Amino acid sequence: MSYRLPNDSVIELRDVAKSFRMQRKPMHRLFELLLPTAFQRSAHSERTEDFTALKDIDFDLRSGEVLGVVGLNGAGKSTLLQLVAGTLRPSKGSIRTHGRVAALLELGSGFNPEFTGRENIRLNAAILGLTRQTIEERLDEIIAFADIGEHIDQPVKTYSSGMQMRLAFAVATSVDADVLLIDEALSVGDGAFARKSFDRMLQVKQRGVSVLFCSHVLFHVEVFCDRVIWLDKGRIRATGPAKAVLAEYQEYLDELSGERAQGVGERFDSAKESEHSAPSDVAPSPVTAAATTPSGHARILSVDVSVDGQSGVELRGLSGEASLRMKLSFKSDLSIPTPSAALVISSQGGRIIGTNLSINQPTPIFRDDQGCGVAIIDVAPLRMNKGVFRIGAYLLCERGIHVYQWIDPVATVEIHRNTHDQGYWMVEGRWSSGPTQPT
Amino acid sequence: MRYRLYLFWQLLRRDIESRYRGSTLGLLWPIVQPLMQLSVFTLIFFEFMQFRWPLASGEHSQTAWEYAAQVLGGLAAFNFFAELLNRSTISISGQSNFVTKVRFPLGLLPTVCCAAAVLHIVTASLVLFIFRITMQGVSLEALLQLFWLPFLLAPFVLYGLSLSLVLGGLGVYFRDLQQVMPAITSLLMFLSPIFYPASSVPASLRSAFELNPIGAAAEVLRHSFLATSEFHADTWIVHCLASGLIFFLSLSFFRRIRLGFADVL
Repeated sequence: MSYRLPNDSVIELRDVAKSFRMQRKPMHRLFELLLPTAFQRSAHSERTEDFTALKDIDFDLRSGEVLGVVGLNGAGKSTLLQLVAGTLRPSKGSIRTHGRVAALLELGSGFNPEFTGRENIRLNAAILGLTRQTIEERLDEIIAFADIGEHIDQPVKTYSSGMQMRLAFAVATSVDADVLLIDEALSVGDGAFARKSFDRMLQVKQRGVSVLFCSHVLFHVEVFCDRVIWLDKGRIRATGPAKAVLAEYQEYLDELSGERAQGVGERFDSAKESEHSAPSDVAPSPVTAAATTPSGHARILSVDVSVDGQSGVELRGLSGEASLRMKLSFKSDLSIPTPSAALVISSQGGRIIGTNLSINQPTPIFRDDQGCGVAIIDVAPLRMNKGVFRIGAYLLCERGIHVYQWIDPVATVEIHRNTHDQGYWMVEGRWSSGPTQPT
Repeated sequence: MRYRLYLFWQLLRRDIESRYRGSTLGLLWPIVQPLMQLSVFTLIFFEFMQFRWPLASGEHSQTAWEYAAQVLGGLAAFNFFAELLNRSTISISGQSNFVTKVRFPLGLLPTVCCAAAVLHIVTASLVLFIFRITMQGVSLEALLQLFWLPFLLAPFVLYGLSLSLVLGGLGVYFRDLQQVMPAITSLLMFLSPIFYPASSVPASLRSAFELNPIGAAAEVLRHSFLATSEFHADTWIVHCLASGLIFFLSLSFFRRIRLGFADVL
């Protein structure tokens, strides 16, 4: 559409609703389209069969804004994204989009399973409106980013879901779209790719691309989004600044999981996917403290990391001299054993350099009658070689197997050293010398 | 528009490539396959049943080669329609990613299906042209008729495109179509003037047979290469008008029913 929307909106939804008819044959939908008047009459009698996926949806996505969408499974997030992408048509209301919209909907995107990865890149880029010349220019860069090796010339049907997503993500973020729709994309793939894609998303955001971002991983939503919409049973339950809405949503999740153990599993499963996905340059916000703790679980209330008494997110210290302290406050259900904590130090690239688990020491972690406690670890001195390291905080079960929650990285430490030594850690040892001895 | 054209070429190239990729004969298959059909038909009808093709002059052709050429003209038209009848029904329902995951100009999919089927006509025309110039030598008339052929065939390709659009769209809603089509195409093979000339159809049934675009397209091919059937300009103009109208109706039908594709796929 060529006209400019008011207030620089790139997406504008007005009173949008989408309902699906349940248990009907596809041909009913055909007749409905061909004979609208005849069907409206009979539709009244069958109204009970309608499933309303979305109702009364009103919002704008402003230019350059990143808007998050959260909600339980089945709240209508994916339907909303499909409506904005234009693959589904609203039953009611209007949707206007301005500029080029690139969508990354669920898994797979618009790939033809019979085509090779390379052919699909060309095809998808062309669908998204790139000219042949631009496509050829970017092809190598897209292939390099997707990083799926020789598979690029194999049919997409042979790909794992992770590989498909990597390719789809690489294409969608390389086409200079004005609006990017992302549904659960960042949690796919291994740790290294998840981080790469997160960094890419931040670049996209800096470029001023408007993003509609949908995820179960609240941590991602919080770092990434300016504003958040909370969908509940197809309606907007809350909308506003990310922090405020997410705190409210988190509270709702906690209440819910108190009643329904299933919800807990879902939530923690999705939290699990967020492993290693935070980039080092973003200050990880402490998880919003809520008054309640779901039954059977424990959560991190806050983490504080300090080096030489200086606490913060980007820390620095001298190799072999600096001391590190991490304080992890948690709250747990009293019916489960006291959880354990772990410190994880990893390289910039995500490789774990070393860990320290609290279960390995004899003194148990203290927990008060509210289920709360603080686990503190002191590492002195830090024996890493020069470089930047990530500090991760983990809250685990009493045997150190199941992870309740983690924040990784919670801080980064830049270590300085004046020697030419290589590697991640300082090798303790002493040189001595003497004349060569005959053997 | 330009990007649609690019997409169209990408899809078409891929569609044709994927069918023959990996086979030793590759792109020779669209020629070899009808020649195999042809030899069987010639053997049965010309040799066993002693059928002779009537020429425009009133005589009957006597060689098996001539009979085969006549059949090839009919077979090309038939293969074109048969392929798009069979493939267009799944041209959209088989590519659900393009419906549910991206905003895609879905009309392209049946169009590509139709364009790929045109290959049958192109290869058969080449074979027939070679046949003609080996029999009669290169003449201005032969070249002119080859030049005019695309225009003469245009209304029939437009029929095919309309069929593809309608069947592609309906195929999303009725999966049964895919099962029905092979039965229909095998009937059409005998109901169209492929092994026999259109002129041998009894006058009482003639008008019903003339409605069949396969027969009309076959007659155009025979006229252009074999000089056995006359070209009827009036029938051709009627086909032009009719195919234009049908295409317009099919397109608006398709545009309407495409709104529900994502709901049912």
